[in-house]
Amino acid sequence: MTVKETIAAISTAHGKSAIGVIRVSGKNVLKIIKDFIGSELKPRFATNVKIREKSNALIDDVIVIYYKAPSSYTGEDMLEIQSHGNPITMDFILEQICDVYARLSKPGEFTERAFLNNKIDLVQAEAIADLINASHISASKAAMITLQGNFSKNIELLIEEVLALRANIEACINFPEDDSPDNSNKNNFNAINSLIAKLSKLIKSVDNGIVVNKTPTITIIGKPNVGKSSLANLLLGEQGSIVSSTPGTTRDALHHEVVLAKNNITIIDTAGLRKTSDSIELQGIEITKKSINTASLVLYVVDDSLGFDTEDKALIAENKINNYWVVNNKIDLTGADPTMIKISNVNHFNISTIQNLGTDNLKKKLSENSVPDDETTGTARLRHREHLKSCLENLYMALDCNNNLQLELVAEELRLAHVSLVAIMGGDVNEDLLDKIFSDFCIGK
Amino acid sequence: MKKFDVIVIGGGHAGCEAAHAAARANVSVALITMKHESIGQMSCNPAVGGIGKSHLAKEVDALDGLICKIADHSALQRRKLNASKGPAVQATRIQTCRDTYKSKMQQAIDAQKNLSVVEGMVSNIILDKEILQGVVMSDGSKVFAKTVVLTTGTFLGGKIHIGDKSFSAGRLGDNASNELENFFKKYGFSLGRLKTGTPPRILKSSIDYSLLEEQGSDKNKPCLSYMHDHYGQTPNIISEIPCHITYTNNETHKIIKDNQSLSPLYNGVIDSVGPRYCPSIEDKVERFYDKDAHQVFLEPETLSDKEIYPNGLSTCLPEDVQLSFLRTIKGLENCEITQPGYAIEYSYFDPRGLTKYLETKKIKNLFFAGQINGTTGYEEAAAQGIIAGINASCSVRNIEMWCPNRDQAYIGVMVDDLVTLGVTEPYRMFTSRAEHRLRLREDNADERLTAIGHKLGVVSSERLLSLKNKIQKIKAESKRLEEIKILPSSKVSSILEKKFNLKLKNVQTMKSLLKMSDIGYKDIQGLESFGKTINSDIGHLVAIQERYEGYLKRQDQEVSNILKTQNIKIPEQIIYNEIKGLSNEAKEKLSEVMPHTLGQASRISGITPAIISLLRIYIKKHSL
Ligand SMILES: Cc1cc2nc3c(=O)[nH]c(=O)nc-3n(C[C@H](O)[C@H](O)[C@H](O)COP(=O)(O)OP(=O)(O)OC[C@H]3O[C@@H](n4cnc5c(N)ncnc54)[C@H](O)[C@@H]3O)c2cc1C
Ligand SMILES: Nc1nc2c(ncn2[C@@H]2O[C@H](COP(=O)(O)OP(=O)(O)OP(=O)(O)O)[C@@H](O)[C@H]2O)c(=O)[nH]1
Ligand SMILES: [Mg+2]
Repeated sequence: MTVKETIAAISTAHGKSAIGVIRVSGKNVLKIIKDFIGSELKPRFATNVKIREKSNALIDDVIVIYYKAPSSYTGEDMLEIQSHGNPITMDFILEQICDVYARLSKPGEFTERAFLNNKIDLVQAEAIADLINASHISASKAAMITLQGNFSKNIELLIEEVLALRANIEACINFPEDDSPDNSNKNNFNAINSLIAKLSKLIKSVDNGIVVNKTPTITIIGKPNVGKSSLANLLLGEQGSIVSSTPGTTRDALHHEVVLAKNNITIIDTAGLRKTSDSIELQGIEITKKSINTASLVLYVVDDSLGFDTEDKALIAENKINNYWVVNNKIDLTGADPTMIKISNVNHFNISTIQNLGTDNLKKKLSENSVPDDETTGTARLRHREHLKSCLENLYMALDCNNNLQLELVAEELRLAHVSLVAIMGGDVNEDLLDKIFSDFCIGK
Repeated sequence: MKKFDVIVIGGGHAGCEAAHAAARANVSVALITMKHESIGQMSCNPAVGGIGKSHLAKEVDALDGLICKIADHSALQRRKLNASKGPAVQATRIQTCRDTYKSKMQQAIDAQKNLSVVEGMVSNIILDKEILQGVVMSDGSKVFAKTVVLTTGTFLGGKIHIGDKSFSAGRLGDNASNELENFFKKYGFSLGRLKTGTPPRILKSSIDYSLLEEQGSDKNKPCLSYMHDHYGQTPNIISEIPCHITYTNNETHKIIKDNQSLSPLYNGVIDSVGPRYCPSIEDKVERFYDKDAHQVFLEPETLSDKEIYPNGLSTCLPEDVQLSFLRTIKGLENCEITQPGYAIEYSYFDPRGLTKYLETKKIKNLFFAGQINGTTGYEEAAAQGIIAGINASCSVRNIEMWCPNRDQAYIGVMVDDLVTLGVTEPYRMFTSRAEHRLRLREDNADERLTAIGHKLGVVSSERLLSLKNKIQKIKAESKRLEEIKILPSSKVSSILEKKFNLKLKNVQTMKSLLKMSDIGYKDIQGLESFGKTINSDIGHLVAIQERYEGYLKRQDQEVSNILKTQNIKIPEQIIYNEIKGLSNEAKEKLSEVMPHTLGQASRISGITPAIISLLRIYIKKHSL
């Protein structure tokens, strides 16, 4: 059968696995090995190579394996790149490959190719197809999550702007004899330029990774008055929670977004845990318990002057907290060293939020650990980036065509730009356009 | 006993094309219609073409259909729209003489061999054990045939509204077809209601033109049919009559607003959906209340030129209100109404009940075409008519049915939209519906479709020859222009620099100059080394091809892979319920639409890429 486009994807299992695998399949695999990997690969042998940025900075030490067609999963030339599983570097490698040699695979495309090349039978394929459907749902869920907040708002604004411009141009093209709107070369020029500026900004923000909203969540818990809110504020870099010396100040779980090493992190400041009969406080504690469940990491704060005691241990056990670090706060009072130690595989940090002691240690470790716990989020982000980039290309072309006074070509480029944006958000390009035309302009002679 | 291969019910624009096409394909055809004298009647504005619509009409012409030829022969005014906007979005529009159009259509139908006209009203369909046998006429007589094409327009359950008057009718002056509607209701066809409207007609002698702006034909008198604009024949010329333009004003709007409650559109009597692009004047005044004036085209209706069609004033207000608001308009101060405007509600079939060959899924060999499928417009009707006629004849001849794809023709776009998405308002073609707009142009419908039509038996060999001649001439001129070299330091190059600010760096050909956006064929014709062209019309076609070549190539590359999946056929016998892994929602939607290809499936709302891969896997396995 004919060799198709080259496809690539991150195919790590869900969760934080130690090793991430990028798989590439298709005719460009040999080119990638030659240009990107830069060394000869013997089929089926694992080789250790260093991946570098253009500036020659080391990105990652990876293991690559080349599978020669037809002896591969898909039956095409394939390449597997195993990295240490840090999604940031994996994203980076995938981006590099997708920029030049391949495109992101659609859900299930590897399996589909395997099937079409007679590498697996139907029963297997159908079973996997079930999974594809399931994973598609989770991918779209992930996309939904990514799409919350500013990012989706920005895209929606862009779509609105593209739509308004298209409605104007298409009304002129389709209804030249009606009272169609004013359309001037200069207005188009300004409108397209405004779109380009906004889109470029958005792409930059995607490149910086700060649009991903499904972020690792860190929940801060501990007994009352130990300095949880102070720690949250410190990580936040601004006064987010109310800090006070009255125990039980924080009654609710407060969510904060912070950026650590290019990653968005949600920090949840909670009400202190203790035995109480106050109903309002009990409510707060219930919420805290929920926040523990959604956390990818718990920071358990202790007042160092009181020490990590049996009550703390009991609280940890009772709430089934298994992924936690201990933060001994207020060492300015005890004079302990701002160190980090590991006790039976749990990190213990000595810090003082007031005097900023040991806090850098904590931040550094947190940013290393701040990996999205769902790889589909990263992939969704990449997909968005692809759509945004092709949208940008079309806008530049539209600008060219507009300079050349070729309105029908401007219209074509804008249609493609619109299609790219709608691919992120969903919607019906044609219907939306007609709606806009008929609601904005009095058409129908 | 009367027996035919194909029965076409309805002598409107869909019916005429269907009957004529089937007859050209050499099967015997009966065109059954209420009155011979109303065959080819234009119920609304007597104009053919316009943006999007001329594209459809020219595709019908490329299949040797009637609509363009007849419009050319009955033209009162001929114009090219968007002449300044690039060939892909240019369109031709012809204002016709309604009477001439009708009589030429009748002549064409009467002259066609294999085609008989039967006058009368069809009241029922005959089925024997689910197999189509023919139709019953209202007088009880029967006509038999293997296939039936239904093209009854707005006649099924038609109901006219003028002010508070309402009565059953197919259009003003014609009876509705209510008995026939009952058959389909009983048989479980899914019917909906739509509405449309038409403006009052005005007595020409009562209009004062002295102050109105006049709009005549374009100088080069464009034609619709390829026979006339590319293949060298000349249409019959009848005398030309210009249009005039006037405007409504605040006084007009006030009368309309004050009487809004008398319009069945606003007092709740009509609740079916009308076309957004063809709003009544009541709607325009209500929705665009900040506009001080709406444009009105005063268009001639017939050569005898007694009646005027005031385009833009569709209404169903009471007749006396119509007259009083008309008389506020410049030029119409003393006007007389010859026929009031009205709105008509009618039944249509959900087109998702059709295959892309326009055959009903419920009854084999029964085809639907035209306004009954939820479309509006002569061109839309004609385009479906020719497809249904071709396919009815294919079914009789036992050869594979056909419908163009979305990248082949506007007809393909329309049919795919109809059978995949259904309609929510009367469907009209817009060029923005076609993602391949740059390819589907007025200048090349024949290159896209004529050879296919010849294979299907509806295009004559002579016509195919004309096409081949045209293509050959294009090639020759293209080659000629490619061979004319322009050197950077030549005299021609200095002219280019002066005129177009174009500095040649290396040797260019005359042809490559056409790629520059601001250089047209006319411009290079003026250059010294241009030489002699065989035909400058052909030269313009070369220029159009050059303009879009790069674009279409890029598009081809981008879509070739997608298309490969898009065009994978889904076998008809597929049973979605048996496919493991499909959600119930997907099963339901796919079973309802029964898409022909994966591409069509992917356009159904809620059908995800994952479902498409699943189908692809399933198809590959089961059609092995
Ligand atoms: C009031 C009105 C306003 C319109 N306004 C517009 C507009 O503004 N813009 C626009 O683009 N289009 C408009 N149209 C639509 C345009 O006229 C139609 O879309 C087009 O004519 C449809 O063609 P058709 O062949 O489907 O049906 P028609 O042209 O309606 O033809 C139907 C034919 O079927 C025959 N017939 C019906 N029932 C039977 C039967 N039981 N037995 C035998 N013969 C039967 C009739 O006699 C008629 O000849 C309007 C139509 C009407 C009626
Ligand atoms: N000396 C010292 N005091 C601190 C430090 N961090 C916080 N505090 C003080 O401890 C008190 C409680 O701080 P919070 O941050 O409000 O503590 P909390 O755990 O969120 O309290 P609740 O919301 O009531 O559960 C405040 O008076 C802080 O100023 C520290 O590092 N050193
Ligand atoms: Mg607090």
